[in-house]
Amino acid sequence: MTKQDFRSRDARLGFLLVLPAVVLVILVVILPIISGIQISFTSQRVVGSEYEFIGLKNYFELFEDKQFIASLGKSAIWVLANGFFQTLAALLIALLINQPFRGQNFVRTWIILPWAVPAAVTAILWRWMFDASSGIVNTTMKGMDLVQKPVLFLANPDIAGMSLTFVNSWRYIPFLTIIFLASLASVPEEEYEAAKVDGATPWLQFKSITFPNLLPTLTVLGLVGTLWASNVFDIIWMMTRGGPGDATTTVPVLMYDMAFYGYNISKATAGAIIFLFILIIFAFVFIFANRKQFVIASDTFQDLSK
Amino acid sequence: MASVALKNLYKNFGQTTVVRNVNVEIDDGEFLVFVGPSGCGKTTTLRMVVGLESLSQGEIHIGNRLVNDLPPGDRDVAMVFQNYALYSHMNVSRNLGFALKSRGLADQEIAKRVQRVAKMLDLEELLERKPKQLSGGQRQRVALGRAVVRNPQVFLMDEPLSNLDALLRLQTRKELIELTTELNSTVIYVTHDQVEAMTMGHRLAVMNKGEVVQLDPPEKVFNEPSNRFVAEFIGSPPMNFLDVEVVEENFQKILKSDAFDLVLPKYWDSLSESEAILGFRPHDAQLVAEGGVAGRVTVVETLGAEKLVYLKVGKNSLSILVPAAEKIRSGDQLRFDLNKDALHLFNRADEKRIMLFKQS
Ligand SMILES: Nc1ncnc2c1ncn2[C@@H]1O[C@H](COP(=O)(O)OP(=O)(O)O)[C@@H](O)[C@H]1O
Ligand SMILES: [Mg+2]
Repeated sequence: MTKQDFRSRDARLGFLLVLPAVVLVILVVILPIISGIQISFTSQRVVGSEYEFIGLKNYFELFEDKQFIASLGKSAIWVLANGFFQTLAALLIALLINQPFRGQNFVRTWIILPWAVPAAVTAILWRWMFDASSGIVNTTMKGMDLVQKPVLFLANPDIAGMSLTFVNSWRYIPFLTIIFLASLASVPEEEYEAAKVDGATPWLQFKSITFPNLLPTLTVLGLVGTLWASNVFDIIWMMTRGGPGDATTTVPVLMYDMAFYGYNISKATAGAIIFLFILIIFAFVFIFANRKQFVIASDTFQDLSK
Repeated sequence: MASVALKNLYKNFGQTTVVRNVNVEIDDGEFLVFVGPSGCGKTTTLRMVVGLESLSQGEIHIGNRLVNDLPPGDRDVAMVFQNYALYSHMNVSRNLGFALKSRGLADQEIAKRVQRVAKMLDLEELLERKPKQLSGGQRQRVALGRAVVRNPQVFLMDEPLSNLDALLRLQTRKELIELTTELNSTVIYVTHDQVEAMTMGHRLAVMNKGEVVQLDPPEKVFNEPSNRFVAEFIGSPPMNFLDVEVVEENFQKILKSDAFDLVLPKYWDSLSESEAILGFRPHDAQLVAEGGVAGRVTVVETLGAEKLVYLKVGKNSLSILVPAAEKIRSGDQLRFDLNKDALHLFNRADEKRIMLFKQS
């Protein structure tokens, strides 16, 4: 057999092997999106009701909808705030527990715990802790004379967003920390030793050894984290329902509210499609702009899995 | 450059002591080699000198400073790591300049010194490359350059040639000798390769199980190994050993093994032991037609100009070197004489060299 034959046979085998995955993706990802696009072109108001084709009307309406435009802005702020806070906190924690200390393995293992708590439990837990009169946070702060009046963590429109960012970060930080720890573990210890012998300060070591090694991971997390944060719905809905007022109404929250409480499922779907489009464009631009880091990252993960 | 003094060094990892009572003074400009088998504590010793490992006991002086409590960066020593430990995200130029940058030198001065070292080590073409894009030999030169550029008090090198292939190793060995001679550097060099140690070191510190068992110039280590371990470790092919009784007949000292007797030269007359270990190197034997020691050939290895012949002599397995022209096959019987001035005797109990005053 010639080399060519081997290749084409390999290619055919490869195709057969990925076929189930391709079918699965088509069934559970592509089809719902197509059906969503279909619905967004209709006047359907609740699931199963009668409707007619109305073209781009839902889309035109949304572009004039101040609430929708505002929710896009809130989503952007939400993503930036979460991304910044979570990444920074997780990185600091990872650097800290990467230093040798007693009980290191214990901490490394159990830090993942908040990640395992169901969102509903997290929401209830923090609502209870943030409660104005009986919540542990307020009673503690008052006990320490830090505040006179209780802080309305979820009821004050200026603070609610920050509170939610904190709770959402509380969920995600452990996961990010683990990723950073894995990434830190792949930095050769020798390079730090060489740097110590060369007289580099800890800051210079971080800047010139740790950070360049973390950059591919940071880049990948920048993408994945943005997409995750954009789609956070559960925590916000269960803690503030997008309120007070519209203070925490991000796009997913607005769409859910519009679909199932505003009885306008087709318009909400159109909003979701617009949001999806924005995220896809963001993803493409982001990957293209950082393609070098993505290549390194995929190499690193391959190396790690060896 | 500066002198270094290691005084009474100990290192314990938990319950195990891996470096024990090491006392070595290294002169300014001296090339000292720690040599010993893998796991004997060479790297640990070096890491204590550079400051990457704390001491369990003892003192380290560099120049006239006690450096026990100084961090590595303040000891003014440069280290070449076994796997080079180049900064993988920096190009060669930044690798070379990193230590200078750490010390806050001006960019211009850094560039000047990097350029000079790059020229010295033939790295000028490679300055923009990342370590990943370099061959093993080039990486080795960058690692060396990174040390040289600092102009440190002492160079520490941990098996810097062990990752190179044979030919390149020879060449680099020579270059390293030239470079350190030219710079008049104080070097502490670690290797498990006794040939490397013999060719490079002004003095060798032979280590075994965490202890320095001999500290002498290479010739002396070779000619007067302090114990059986050193005798076996230094020199290739390794020395032969066999148990002998020492008897006195007609006012002569005679070694008796199970297969032959050997009359010792006069200067051994003061030998007091009644039993010993006899050691001789394979090249200290010559084939003879009759007399001498008889043996049966088991294996013949051709080494080029010579053949290494393994023999069974009585119950002992020995080896001797013979000219390659000799036609010898396994199974042959042959006879050889030993060069009696090159015999080594070791104490049976502690395996230390039996010294007579004749041998300085
Ligand atoms: N960090 C450590 N913890 C425990 N044991 C160690 C450590 N480093 C080295 N050792 C042990 O110390 C001994 C000497 O090691 P090393 O100095 O690396 O030897 P060499 O360089 O001569 O091969 C070895 O038995 C090794 O297993
Ligand atoms: Mg070693």
